[in-house]
Amino acid sequence: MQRILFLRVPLCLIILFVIQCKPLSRNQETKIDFTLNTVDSKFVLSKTDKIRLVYFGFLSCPDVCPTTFQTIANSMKALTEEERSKVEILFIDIDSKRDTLPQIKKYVDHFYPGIIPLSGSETELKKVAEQFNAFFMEVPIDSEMKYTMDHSTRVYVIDKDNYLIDTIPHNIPIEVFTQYIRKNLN
Amino acid sequence: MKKILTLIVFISPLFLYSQQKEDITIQEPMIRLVPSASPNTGGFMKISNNTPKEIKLIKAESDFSQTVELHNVVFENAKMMMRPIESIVIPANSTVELRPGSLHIMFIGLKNPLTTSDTKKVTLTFDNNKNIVVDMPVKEISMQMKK
Repeated sequence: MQRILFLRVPLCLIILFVIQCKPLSRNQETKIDFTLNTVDSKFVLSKTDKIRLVYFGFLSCPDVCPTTFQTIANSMKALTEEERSKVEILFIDIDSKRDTLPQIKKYVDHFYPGIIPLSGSETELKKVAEQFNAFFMEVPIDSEMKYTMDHSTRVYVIDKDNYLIDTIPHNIPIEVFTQYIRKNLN
Repeated sequence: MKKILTLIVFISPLFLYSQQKEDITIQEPMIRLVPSASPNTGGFMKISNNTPKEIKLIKAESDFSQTVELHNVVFENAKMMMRPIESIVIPANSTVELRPGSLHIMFIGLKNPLTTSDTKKVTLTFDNNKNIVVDMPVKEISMQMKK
């Protein structure tokens, strides 16, 4: 019982903190504008009636990327159907040398249906990442992998008018992640 | 009575031996379930060194991936950096946790898609010439363990 209280009380405090935190104010917002490739077509970031969660990652990532997608998937399942219908998820794959769009689609479909797989040339991807103030870099390593991709671990939130309104930290409990989504829906 | 006492004297060391801990013990082994499009995955466990001397994990082998390496993940300013490492040190009388977002066994080039009903045999080699075969179940991991 003590252990449950020990775990639950800090979690409640974190959720309370997330609720209290308002999304960025208008003058702090950055308008995002990009076109990238998706399966068999171009994806143009246009105005929508949904908020968008954006994540940068790669398929050979054994750890942080699957953890994030599992958290996103579980949070989406925790939302109501109406809330879910107002959220779109974009995965920007940063390893264009190794990952193909059909593979990327197969990868994201494993976690949650409807995640939009995106890719582009390294130059295009760098330009998109800059808008989010996100980071990625190819790093040669002494491994059968030959190289790895260092990258930002945050999930970025953009509103229906394509303004960057929030960032969600990595490795937070599903309840807290869900609260971040709800906060940005309101 | 004398016979019983003699028997106890002879048998008791056997019980003591069986209760002695192994030099190295493994707890909570698991392999992360990844989508079939993902070529790699990570393996995690707690490794306890029950001896008064430092031990190093120097190699891991398995036949379900092309290669097995030891890796570490470092987080810095909300960035993730994964790097191969030569060994994992388990200090004397200590436990080291291989966990998501930290030290892990990296299975590179999965030969077949994984499912949660799989259990894979992984051989760990330590620098004290000990080999341990670990049965590692494949599990879905939604959040990293505490750091």
